[in-house]
Amino acid sequence: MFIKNKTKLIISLNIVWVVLMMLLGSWWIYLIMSFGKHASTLGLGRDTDRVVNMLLWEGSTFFGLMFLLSASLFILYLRDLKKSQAMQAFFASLTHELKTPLASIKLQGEVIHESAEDSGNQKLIKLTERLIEDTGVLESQMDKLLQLSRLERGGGFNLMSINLVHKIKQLIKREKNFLTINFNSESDELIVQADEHALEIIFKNLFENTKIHAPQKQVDISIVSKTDTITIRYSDQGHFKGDTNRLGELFYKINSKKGSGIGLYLIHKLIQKMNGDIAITSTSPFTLELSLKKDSTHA
Amino acid sequence: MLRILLLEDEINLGTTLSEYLNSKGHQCHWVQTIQEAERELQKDFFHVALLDIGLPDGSGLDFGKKIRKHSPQTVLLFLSALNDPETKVQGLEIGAEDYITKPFALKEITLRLERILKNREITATLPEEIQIGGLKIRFRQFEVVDGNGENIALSQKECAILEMLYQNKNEAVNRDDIIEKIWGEDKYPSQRTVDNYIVKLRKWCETDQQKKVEIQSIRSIGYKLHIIN
Repeated sequence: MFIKNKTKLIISLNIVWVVLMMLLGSWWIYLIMSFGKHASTLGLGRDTDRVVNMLLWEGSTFFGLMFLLSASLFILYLRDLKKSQAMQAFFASLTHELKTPLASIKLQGEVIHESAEDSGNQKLIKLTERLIEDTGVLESQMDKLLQLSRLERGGGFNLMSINLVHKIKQLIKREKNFLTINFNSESDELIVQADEHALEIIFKNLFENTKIHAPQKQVDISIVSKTDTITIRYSDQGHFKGDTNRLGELFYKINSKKGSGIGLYLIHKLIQKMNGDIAITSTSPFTLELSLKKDSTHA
Repeated sequence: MLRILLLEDEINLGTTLSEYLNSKGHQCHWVQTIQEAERELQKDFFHVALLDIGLPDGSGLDFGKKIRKHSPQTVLLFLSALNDPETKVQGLEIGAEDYITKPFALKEITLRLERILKNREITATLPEEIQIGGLKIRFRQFEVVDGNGENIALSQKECAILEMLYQNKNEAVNRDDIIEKIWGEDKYPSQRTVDNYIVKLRKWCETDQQKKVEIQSIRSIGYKLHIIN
C-alpha cells in the first residue's frame, strides 16, 4: 500500500511536470514567433530572422533536453522501483525458505537438549541451550524481515473491535519468563479498532527492544481512556539517546550494533495504518505512547 | 498412545520429528507426499494428522479438507513455515485443531498431543449419544444432529467447547477458562475467536423445536448451556 501510494504520487507529479513544460514550451514558441513582428522596433534590421531562428533553436533544444531528462529520470525511477520490489519479494521468499531448515536445526537442538537432560550431561545442556537461544534470535530477525516485506507490499489489514485490556494481558503472559511487566488499566473492557496481528507485532517488538536495550528487564504498561482514543503508555528503564524525530525511520539505529532498525519502523507504520498515533514522551526512562481509535459502538 | 500421520517433505525435519514422537510412545507414520499420505489413510485410522502446507504434489490445506470430509475424527494440526494470518485463518476454518508455525518448539507439539490424548479420554467417558429435546450430540463422532434430523460435523474445537459447556450445563463457564482449557496456556486466541465458535453451536441449538436448550451469553463472564428439564 505504502509503495503503491508513493508510486501514484510520483507518476502524478511527473504528469504535472510534463504538462507544465509543454505549456511553457508552447508559450516560448509563441513569444519567439511574435518577436519577429516586433523586431523592427528593437532595431535589429537584417539580423532579425537570424536572431529569431537562433532563439527558436536554442529554446527548442533546451525544452527538448529538459523533456528527455525528465523522461529518463522517470524511467530510472520505475526501474529502481521494480528492482526494490523484486528484492523485497526475494527476501520474503528466501526468509520463508530458510524457516524449514531452521525448524529442523531447532528441533534437533531440542531433541539433543532433552537427551542431555536425561543423561545429566551439563556441558551438552549448556551448548544446546545456546543453540536453541540463537535459533530464537534468528527466527525473530527473519520474522521482522517478513513483516516488513508484507507491510511494504500492502498486506491485508483487518480492523475490528478488540478488547485492548484482554489482548495486552494475553501478550504479557507470553513474556512472563523473560520480563517483569506491571500492567495497569482503569477498566477491564476498553475496546479499540485495531488489527489483532498488528497489535501482536507491535508489542513483540516493544518487548524485544526492552530486552535488548534496557538495563533492567522491567516494563510498566498503563492504559488510559480519552474521549475518542485509548492511549497505551509503555515505559521501561532504557535511555533513548537518539533523535526522537527520526524514530520510525527504516534502519535508524543510535550508534548501536544491537538491533536491526526495523522494529520501531514497523510499530510506527502499523500504528499509522490503524489510524493511531505514536509519540515518545520521555527519553529517560524510555516512555512511548500509542493512541488507538476507540470503537465507536463501544465509545 | 496416538497414531499420528506426519506429512512433511523436508527429510531431516521429518526424520527427527517422527523418531522423537515414536520415542515418546506414539506411533508416527512419516510420509513425504500427499499421494503417500492418501494411501496410508486408506490403510489405517489416525488419531492425529500433522500436515505441512507447501508440498511437492499439492497443498496441505486441500488435503486437510479431504481428511475432514472422510475421517472427521482425525485431529488436524498444520505445521507450516507460512505465518501470514490469511493462511492461518484458512487452516483453522478447515477445522484444524491448531496451526503451528515453523520453527516451532518441541514443547508446542508435545503439549498439543497431550491435550488431544486428554480430550479423547474425557470423550470416552461420555455416552455414545446424548439427546436433548430434538437435538442429539455424538461427541465421539465429532457430530451433532439438529432439530430437522440433519447431521452436522463439528471441528475439534467446536466439539471441545460444546463438551465443556455440557459438562458444566446450567452453569456459567468463564470465557478465559474455555481459552485456557481448550487452547492451552501457551496459546492466546482472541475472545472473538471463542465467540465465532459459539455462533455455530448457537445456530444448532436454535433448530430445536422443543426449545429445550440454548447457549446464553453471560456479560463479562462467558457462556452458559441452559437445558430445560
